[in-house]
Amino acid sequence: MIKNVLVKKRKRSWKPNRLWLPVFLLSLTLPFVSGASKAHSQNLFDVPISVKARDFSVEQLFNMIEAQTKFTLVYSNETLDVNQIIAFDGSEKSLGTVLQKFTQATHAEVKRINNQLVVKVIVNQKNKEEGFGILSGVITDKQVGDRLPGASVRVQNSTIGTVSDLNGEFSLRVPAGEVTLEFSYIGFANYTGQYTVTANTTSRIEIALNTDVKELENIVITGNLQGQQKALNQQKSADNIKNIVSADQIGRFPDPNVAEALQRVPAVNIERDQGEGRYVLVRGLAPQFTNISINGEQIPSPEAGVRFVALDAIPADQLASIEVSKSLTPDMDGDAIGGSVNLITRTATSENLSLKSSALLGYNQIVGRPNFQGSLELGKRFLNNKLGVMLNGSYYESDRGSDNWERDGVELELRDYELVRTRTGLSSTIDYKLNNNHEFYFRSIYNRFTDREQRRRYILLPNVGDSPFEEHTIERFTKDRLEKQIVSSFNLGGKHTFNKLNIDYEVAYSEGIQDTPFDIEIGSIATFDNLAIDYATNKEFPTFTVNGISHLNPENDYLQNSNYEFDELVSGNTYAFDANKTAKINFTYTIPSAKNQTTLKWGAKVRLKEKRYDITENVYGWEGGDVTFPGFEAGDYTLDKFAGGPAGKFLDGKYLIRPNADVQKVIDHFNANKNGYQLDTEEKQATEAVEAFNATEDVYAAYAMGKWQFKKLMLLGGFRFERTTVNYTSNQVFFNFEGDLDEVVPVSGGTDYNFLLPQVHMKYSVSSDLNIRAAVTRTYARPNFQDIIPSQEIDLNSREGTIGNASLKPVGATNIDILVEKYFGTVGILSGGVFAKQLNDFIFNQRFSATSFEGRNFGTNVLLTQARNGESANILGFEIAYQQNLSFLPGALNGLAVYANYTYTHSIAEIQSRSDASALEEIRLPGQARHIGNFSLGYDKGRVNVRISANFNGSYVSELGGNSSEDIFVNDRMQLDATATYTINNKFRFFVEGLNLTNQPFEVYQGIKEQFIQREFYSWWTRVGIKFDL
Amino acid sequence: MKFKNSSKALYIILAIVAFSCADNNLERSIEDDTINFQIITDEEEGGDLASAEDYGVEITFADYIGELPSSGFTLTYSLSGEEDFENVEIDKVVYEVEIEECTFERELNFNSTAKTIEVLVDEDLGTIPESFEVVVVLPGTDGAEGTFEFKIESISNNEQIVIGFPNTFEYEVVSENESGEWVYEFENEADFNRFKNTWSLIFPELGEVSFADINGEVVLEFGFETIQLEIELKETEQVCEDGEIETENLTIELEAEYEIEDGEIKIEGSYFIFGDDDEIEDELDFIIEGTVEFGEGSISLVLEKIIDEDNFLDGEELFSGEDAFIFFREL
Repeated sequence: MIKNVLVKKRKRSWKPNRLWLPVFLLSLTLPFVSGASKAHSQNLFDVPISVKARDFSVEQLFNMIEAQTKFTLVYSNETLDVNQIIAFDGSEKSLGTVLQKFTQATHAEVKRINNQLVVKVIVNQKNKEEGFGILSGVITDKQVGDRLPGASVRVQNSTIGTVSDLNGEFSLRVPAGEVTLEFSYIGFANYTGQYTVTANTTSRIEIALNTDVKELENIVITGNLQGQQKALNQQKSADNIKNIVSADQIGRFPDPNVAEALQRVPAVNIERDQGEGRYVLVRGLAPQFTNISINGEQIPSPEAGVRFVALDAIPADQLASIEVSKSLTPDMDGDAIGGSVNLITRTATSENLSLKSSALLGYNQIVGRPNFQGSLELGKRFLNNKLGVMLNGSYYESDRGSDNWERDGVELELRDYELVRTRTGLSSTIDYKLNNNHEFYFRSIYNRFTDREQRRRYILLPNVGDSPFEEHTIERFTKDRLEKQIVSSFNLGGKHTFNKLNIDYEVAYSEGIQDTPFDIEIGSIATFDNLAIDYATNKEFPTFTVNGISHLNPENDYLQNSNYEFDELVSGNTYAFDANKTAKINFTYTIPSAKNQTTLKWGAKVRLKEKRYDITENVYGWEGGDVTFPGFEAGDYTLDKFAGGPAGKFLDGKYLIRPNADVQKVIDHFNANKNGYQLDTEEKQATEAVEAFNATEDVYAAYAMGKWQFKKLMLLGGFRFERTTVNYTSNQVFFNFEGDLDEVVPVSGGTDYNFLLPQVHMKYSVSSDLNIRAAVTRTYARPNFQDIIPSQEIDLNSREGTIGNASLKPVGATNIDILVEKYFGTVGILSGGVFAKQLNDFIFNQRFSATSFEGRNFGTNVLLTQARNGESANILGFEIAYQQNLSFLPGALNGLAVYANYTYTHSIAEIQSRSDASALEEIRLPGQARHIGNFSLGYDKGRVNVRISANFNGSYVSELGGNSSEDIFVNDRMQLDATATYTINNKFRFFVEGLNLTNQPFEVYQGIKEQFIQREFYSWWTRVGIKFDL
Repeated sequence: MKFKNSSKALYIILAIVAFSCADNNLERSIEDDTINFQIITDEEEGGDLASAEDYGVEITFADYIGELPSSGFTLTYSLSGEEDFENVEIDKVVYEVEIEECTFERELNFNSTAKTIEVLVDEDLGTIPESFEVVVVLPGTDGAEGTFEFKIESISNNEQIVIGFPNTFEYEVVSENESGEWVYEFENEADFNRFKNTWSLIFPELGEVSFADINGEVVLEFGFETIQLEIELKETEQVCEDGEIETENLTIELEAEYEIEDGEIKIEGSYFIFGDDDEIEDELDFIIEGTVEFGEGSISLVLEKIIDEDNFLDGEELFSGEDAFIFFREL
């Protein structure tokens, strides 16, 4: 073991030799062993040593020398980088040769003093030139030419360094004169180069690194491994705790949208809609605690009333990468408690035209229809690399469906869904580099998601108590609606590198629109003498009888459409609009030092938001007497006259259904017989008044932070201040005791709040591939608009109401994270960490009785629901992740690759007790799953890549009931997917994907696991296609 | 070659954009951007005793949003009858306007020959009236038999207004034995209390008054499929009609639907439940079952069971037994 300072020598017993004095005297006359001198090397060159053909760090080399020879190494680790890697090819047979290679690589000199080898770092006279210059450049993969993001660039024997950005570009301020730079990247051989830097000038270099993984040398390039490398390097080099999903990684899994791609990230689970991932939950926290941004700027939510973004609207293949930051730095927006997801679009990187495309066809088993997808990416740089243009377009169309039964108390509901979803993505990046120090860019992204949904329902309402005031009824509903979500973002900015200062700035405009141009539902109703539902005998599929006859009997009365009479036609449309206008500027100042690099960064930002929601809803009843439909004689308005759509077995034959209302037939009848339909004006006024709102939100932010690099230790800390001002207008709606609309009262108001957010990060690089990270940060989350806008809907007839809460406070959080990351040379990672969060003023829905509220006397007890701040919530968890290509296994097994992660989260939240208002009750945070994980086993050999993946989401509370036995849970779910790729050549790849292979349903239970209240089945679906890069 | 590839690729991108504009719209949209005002008959059918001298057919607007039109319209009608009602005619068309808590009755012009009613804008309302009553003259004889039908045929001079449903009213002579008014006079306070104990179960306003508060009787009126129980109080109020102030007694009323078959009567309605602090806590439907027997100018009403939505199981009824009340024809 080497002791590392000059003042201390290794504690080895020293026995004076009779020859020591003459040797010592002789040694004083000998020149140092250096790359240029061979005078004394004769002796050292006679000292045999055995060195394997591999890389050694300086420390390992010194250990080996001491183990094989009599010599002791003496040096100062303040000036000598013991982690520096030196490559040996096995030809070095003598100590002298070894030391010669060492001195050449490190520019140190070695002086032998007896049995001590004193190492001294040479300070080049030329480096003593005054001033600093800038070295910038690009780092690429020598084999395939791809740019390498996250590569480490360091001045040898100093802490001055940087990391290449997403485009493989770097810029480093270094002392003028001769400088040696070291470049390192997981999976690639380190490279060292010497450069001459002139003070106050910028020089450009290009570095091409060789792959270091021998097993890959003969493998046809598939892009998978490169994707892993890029992601892991960025992750390793990051100052904060984050996970990166690269574009190539996204292609490894059958994930068509961003949410699905994110489910593979440790500690991330997703909420699904119709089987497709939609919302992201990081570390068990609900979607509103995660902020979503594109190219560093938050995107507004297309959905009215909420802030979180449905990520199924954004195709994954638009992106270069996705960053999930689990700990925030002061230069990031502070409103994220779970994490911050940043979607990064692509940039043109080469003067050669880059053309990538894909075309896929698929099949959805439950609806028996195909789906397809296509994408095209064009990128090229012009004008001698100054101007880059990247265009990307994709289109995805899928016919989907689900079969579902649900229970609400004694009512049973059968639901049949058919959907057509399209996803169109267009993005572009235009960047112009004026020179090495100044560049401008314009980025745009436009995503359009459409969802045409047709839903057919049977709602069985038994008269359980046999009350003479009720009847056994079955209601039939058909819904047909089109929903469009448009998310667009336009960013214009610039980056400038001056002698001591970097400045970057940006203005951005982004919009989220949810437009439902039509939402139509037709209701019919029938009454029966008897209706009984059995939930106990078969908990997975309840059974029922109508008039004593089994539901599976095709002659059952409930299957005769002529028994159902038209009840109502609901027609409406909605428009939700959310827009952000943002401007920000950042300054970065690097304090030049040969020892410890210090960077100061500060900046400011303003974001102005406008949000509004408009709704039109018309409910019509039929008063016009007998009706006439094509093919039928005039008569009662019964369902058989206007039915259409699927019929037959449902839920794999567990139930029977008949054609439900054909929406188009009813619309045609309405258009021809408007005067027979009467509008329910009170319901229209109430719905439109209480749901519509306008709001503005202005955020002003400023921050300051510093980053210090001490050898292996990086410290980053600072403060961020954010001030938020919210204003809104809406309505309060009151119904009288007869259920008639009593009053619509306009309401307006506002609130404002400030947050000072201190944040500290630490990264200790134990070695080049082992990091220990820790972070303590303060963050917050803003309440949803629908919770703060004080619109009220009070129905005295039903004694129920919902009210907004204008005094609802944002949720504040203190976050502690500790993480250890070990990176493998064969491109992999083993990481493990713990995290803890304490939330103040967390938000939950409270139900309470009141006879008056805010000065309005109801005259009776009304059960109100309102979002309120709770006492506190604590979250504690740990996550582990392992990812590795098992190329070290023998034979054919070396093609295996493993990707796995697991996160355990425990939460306790305190709310006002539901049984005793004077006490507190502990609950689990809604939306938080205890166990989430991914496991994927792949095989990559030659042209074939096969992968099977499992994603597991543990159960979580989705809604709190009146007491704990009424709490609603989403059940555990494990989805199994598979993908196989065959690389035809380096331009074409053929692949097959299968999703939800085990037909895993979505299940909800109430209170206890055996009490299902919903089971929704999606079946499996598949895609087959070709991807090509030209 | 590179340019060719680029332009081909651009065409593909444009195709993606164009393709993405496919909206999955309905074949034909619902046409409800403009909602007209619908004029209807308030009831589809009604009736009165054979001796009734006139009957008011109410014409009204179906529920609407916003303000009624500020321009008038012409309503064309048909009025036909059978038997004794063959030649019934309109006596007048009236509507009410409330100004400063005083109710005024005003008339609309009509033309019996042309079968039209002119509905004009009222100066005080600023719009056309929300409803009006077509008063039809009836034979007024005890033995009158037959029916008449009033139908809205067309609307002209105002495109905002259309004919809705129902648009036809059918009148019939109510010939059931129970038609008209029947009176129960309380012999004494004990008799009132007996009546009150039973009926106040679903008539809470009755539970709040004492024998001293009332004028000693309750009136039972059978209308067209409805039954009304009315008790006149001693307390009076000032009422303004057509500019004249009159003093009227306050009343408390219970109204419900009824049907009689083979001597059995079933009454269905709803009532409010008040809490200790006189605040309404709930509204419940009720059913009264019993028997009815017709005598010479009298009705014997025996209540056997009273249930509501919360109390209907055997043994949990609000009332179960026999409580008889004899009402006499109001002269």
